[in-house]
This record gives sequence, structure tokens and C-alpha cells, in this order.
Amino acid sequence: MDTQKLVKECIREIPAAQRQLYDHFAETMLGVCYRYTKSMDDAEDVLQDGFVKVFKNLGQYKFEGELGAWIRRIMVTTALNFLKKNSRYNHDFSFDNENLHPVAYDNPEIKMTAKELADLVRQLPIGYQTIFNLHAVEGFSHVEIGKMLGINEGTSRSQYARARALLISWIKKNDELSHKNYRANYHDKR
Amino acid sequence: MPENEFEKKVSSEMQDLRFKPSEQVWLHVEERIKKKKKRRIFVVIFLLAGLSLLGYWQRSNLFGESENSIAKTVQKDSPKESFVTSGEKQKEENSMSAEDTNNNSTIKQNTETTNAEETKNTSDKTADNKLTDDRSVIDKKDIAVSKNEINKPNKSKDEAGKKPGSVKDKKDNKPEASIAIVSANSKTKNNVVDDKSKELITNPETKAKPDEVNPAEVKPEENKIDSAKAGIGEQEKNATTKTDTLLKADQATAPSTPIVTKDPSEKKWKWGLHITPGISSLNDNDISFGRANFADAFAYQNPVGSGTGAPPPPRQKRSDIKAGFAFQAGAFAQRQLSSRTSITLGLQYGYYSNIIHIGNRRDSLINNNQFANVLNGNGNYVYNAGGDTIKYTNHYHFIELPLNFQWQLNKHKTKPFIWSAGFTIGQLIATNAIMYDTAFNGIYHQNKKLLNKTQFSVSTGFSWTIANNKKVQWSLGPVANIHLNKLIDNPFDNKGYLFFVGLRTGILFNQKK
Repeated sequence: MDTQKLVKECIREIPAAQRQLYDHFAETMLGVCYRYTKSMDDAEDVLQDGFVKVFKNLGQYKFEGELGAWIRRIMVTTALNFLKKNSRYNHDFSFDNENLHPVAYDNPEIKMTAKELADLVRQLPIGYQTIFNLHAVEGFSHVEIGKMLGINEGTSRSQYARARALLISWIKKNDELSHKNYRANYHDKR
Repeated sequence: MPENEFEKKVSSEMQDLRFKPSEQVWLHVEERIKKKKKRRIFVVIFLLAGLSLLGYWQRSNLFGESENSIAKTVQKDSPKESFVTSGEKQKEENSMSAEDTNNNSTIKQNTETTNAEETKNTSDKTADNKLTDDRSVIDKKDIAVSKNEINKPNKSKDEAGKKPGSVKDKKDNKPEASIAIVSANSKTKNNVVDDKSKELITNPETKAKPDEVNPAEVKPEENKIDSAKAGIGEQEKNATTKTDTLLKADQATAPSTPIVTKDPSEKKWKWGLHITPGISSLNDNDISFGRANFADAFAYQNPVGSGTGAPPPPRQKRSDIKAGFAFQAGAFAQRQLSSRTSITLGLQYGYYSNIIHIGNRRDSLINNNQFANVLNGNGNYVYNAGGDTIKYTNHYHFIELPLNFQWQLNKHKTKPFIWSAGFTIGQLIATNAIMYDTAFNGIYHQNKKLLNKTQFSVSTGFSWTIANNKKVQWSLGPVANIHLNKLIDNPFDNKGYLFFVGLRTGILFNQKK
């Protein structure tokens, strides 16, 4: 796929090119949207809004970075706006200044699929979920996250530490549970 | 394991997260990205234009347009053959209506007899009734057509004797012209009305058979019209057979019904919008309804507010007037007069401005009796004329009604190059303009009594059609507008005539389906 040509055609509003661009990135971007929301419907809403923004602002893409990264950034911003504006999320989408939570240094092995891990992340409270996604998955620093969400850097760190601890405990539990299930199944078979 | 090992793992796992979105997502995205960006200014202009045109059309509809649709359609369908103008056709038809009545009644009676005979053959009574109803509708159409077609020769014959050498002489000299009109109508309009006639004919017996829909069936119609020229007596004798044949032919070929259907594409008026940014200023033109002033010289001899008997003090001269930004925006309706000429009538908002350089404010003069009584000063601002400390912009807001005549200079059908000239009446609705006065050693002040709020102007311009598709025509070109009467009737300043030069961008909506 010649990205430059495709982008130029999309700017000229050629429907086939627009469809091609959408088809190329839609699945990955729905994965991004899925991580930030609590339901697939909401994720699709974010995806829709995000792609509308992508097509309207494609003229601003300077071909400097990867197009995928540029679109991903738009999706993340759209998702954050969605969380702020949507009544189902904005009640919980507030961050109090908290004391720094000690960071757990546990690094458990992750023996689950991407979807299982994502579903686990989505079980976190929405604030934790957002900050975890922004820091652990997207790689934003806490300073950047603070600016994006309008919170202190410390609050971001603290929220992240709690989210991380909670997630690790769930992963461990999940591991234990799956281990027990495995053993139970093994004995039953014997 | 370092601290960020977990994050790396999570990140790498999450990169693989993919879901296939439902097709609805794309449909919504597509729908939304197709919506064009609309700017607020255009919404306002469209609303204004829409309101004004709605009012205009409403007025047209209330009073109606008296032009005959038959003549118009005939003229449109066969412009080369139609020697008679629509007005003349109207007169002809009116004058012939009395004569037609007798013929029509005979034809109608005959037609009814034919219908009665035909209905006897059918067994189902309800179907018969329906057929008769339907037929009666068709008969009316047929008679209307036959009325136009059959009687024309008589009419031309009668009138030829009365008005030798008139336009109708040509028609008499070339009798085939009227036939050509009829045949042209029957050929071209048949396609349009075909569906309607099929709807009307519900009985399978009366439905058009494929073998009936052939030119051979239509030919007798022309022959009949030829024979009809022989005279009314002969025509009356043959009326029954003619009507029968006409009925068949009309049923088969779905006769032209210009009287009944009016094609919306025949709308005479097209409408459009324009915006014309440019510059404006005040000058002293020679085309003037006003009078020459020598008040300035008079003021030197009798200076106001400078004391009596003493020599006049040095006076601060009036500022040079520089051009300022201006624009016109509005809607217009355009009517084609001929293939290369048209007129436009519009409603527009005009903003004009000019720039002057003046001195500091002298608001203390507002309470001065002389200022109030002698200068009729009624504004809130007074400035010294000299000093060049303030750059002041005079704004003028107008509502204008332009009437323009347009003439196409080239022969290009889709991209015409047009010269236009016209006349505009405008009403000043607001201004902040200040005027020069020699009093108090030269001041600028507001005096609305010096403003001529109703303005007459002439305009001219050229326009190139830069894009033309089925829906719209885009045009671009320069325009100039010179006011004929003084905007500011100031005895101390001859530069009171407003002029405007701009680049007009117009969009004309083609009302074709």
C-alpha cells in the first residue's frame, strides 16, 4: 500500500481510497477503542468518530511519522473525549489528588491472550483503565498523561500504580484459577 | 526483571488486539464524511436569499402568469417552425374559441357515440363504466388536441384574408408549418405522456397494441389535418372518422398534452446567489443628479464660529478619501429573454466603506450652540479636520435591488462570457460616516441630514462561467458600480458619489431535473 498516494486520494475525497484506508486500519483501531471503553458498542462509536476526524484532518498529516501511529493518536484522543462527555463514564472519570501509591515490582508472567488481558484491563475502574492504557500500552509519560487529562503528574503515577497492582493481583488469581482448573481437569481425566 | 518488563509485555500483547468492526460503522463514517462543511455566512445568505425569493415567487403565483402553456410548449418544441409568437397564439386561440365550440361539440358527440358502441361490446358493466370514464378523460385530451390541430388551418385561412403581409402570411405561404408543429409535438411529447395514458387506459381492449404504435398510424393524423385545411364543412363531415382515428392514434401513441402537463424544467426563472468583494470610495463624478457647490468659497467669506470682521483663520483642509473594503452579497432571479440575452432581478446587501485621516476629537463642540444650530450637527462625534492622527473608516450599509440586462458575447453554450449592465436602487440602512465642514477651522462631524438615503446607481461588468454542470453554474468576473446621486450632499465636499469595484462570484442553479 502506497501510503502517500492513498492519503492524497483520501484528501481528494475519492470514496474507494477512503474505504481502503478504513479497511486497512479499522480492525487495529477498534482494538485500541475497545481497550478504553467498557462495551463493543461504545468502542465502535469511538471508532466511527475517530475515523470521521481522520478523514477530515488528513490534510494535516505531514507524512513525518507512520500513518498508523497518527491515526492511533487520533483514536486515543477521541476515546478520551468520549469518556469525558459520555454520561456512562464521566461520573467515574474524575481523578482526586492522591498520595503516591507504592509501586509493586511484581512482574508476573502473562499467560493469556490479548483479548483476555484486554478484558481484564477493562474490568478496572475507568480512571485506572484509562491511565493504565495510556502509560503501559501507548507509552505516554505521566507528564503527558497529566496534560491530556488535566491532572497532576503525581495523580497519574498514583492511579497507575494502583491500577497496575490491581491488575497484577487479578492476573495472579487468574493464573492460580486456571492452574487449579487444569489440575482438576487432569485428575478427572485420570 | 526490570520494572517496565510487565508494561512491555502488556504493550506487545495489546498490539495484537484486533476486532472486525460491523459494516454499520463504515456506513456511518461514509455518511458523515460526505456532508460538506457549511459555513455560517452562507447559511445566513441562503436564508436571506430564500426568504426574498420565496416572497417573490409567492407573489408571482398569486397573480399568476397569463402566458399560454400550449403556445409556449409548441414554441419550445419546434422553435424553427413556430412563426407566431406566444402572445399572437393566445389572441388567435381566443378569437377562434367561439368558432371552435361548434366543431368541438360535433366531435364530442361523435366521440361519445363511438364510445357507446365500443362499450356495448364489453360484457362487464363496471369495466364499461370505468372505460367510459377513462375514455372521457382521453376524449377531452383528444378534443383539446384536435381542437388545436384541426382548427388551426381554418384560423390561418380566415386571418390570412384579414391581415395580408402579417407574420401569419408566412404561415399561409407555408402551410406545412402547422403540420410540422403538430407532428413534432406528437412525436416528442408522446414519450413524456405515455405513462399517464397507460394509467388512464385500464381496459385491455383499449390498451395500446404494439402494432398500433407505429408511425403508420400517426400518419393518417397528419393527412387528416391536411384535409382539414380544405374547410370546416368538409371537416365536419369527416369529424366522426377523424375523431375515431385520432382517438386510436392518440391512444396508441399517447397524444401530446401540453395543456395538461407542465414540465418543471420549463420554469422561466432560475435563481442564484452572488458575493462580490471589492473596494469602494467616494468621488466627484460627472454623472450627477445633484448640483455644483460653491459653498466652500462662500464659507471663506462668512466663516461660521470664527468671529465677525476678523480675517478667517487658517483652515484645516479636508482629508483625502481612500478606498476601503466593500462587498455585495445577495440573491437574484434570472430570466432568459432569448438565447443570448437575459435579465436578472435581485436583492442584495451592500457594504461600502472609505477611509479618511482626521485629527483629534473635539467633543466639546457638541454642546456649542453654534454647532447645534448653524451646522445642524446631530452626531456624537466631532473631530478636527487636520492632524492625521486618526484613521477613520466610514461604513455604509445598504439594501439594494439590482436589475441587470445580460448579453452573451460568445457562442459557447455551457461556458458563456457575459457582459451585463444595469440599474440599482439602494436604501442606506446604517452608517457611521462623518462629514467635513469649514466651521470651527475645519471639522469632521456626523450629520445624517446630509445623507441621501435612497441611492440610484448604474453598474456594468463581465462574467465568465468557470464551471457548469447539471445543477449549478459558477461564474466569476469584475463589476463596477457608480452612484448617480450624491450619498453625502455636503456643500463643502464635492466627493459625495459612491463607487464600487469588485470581483463577482456567482452561482446560478439550473432547475433541470
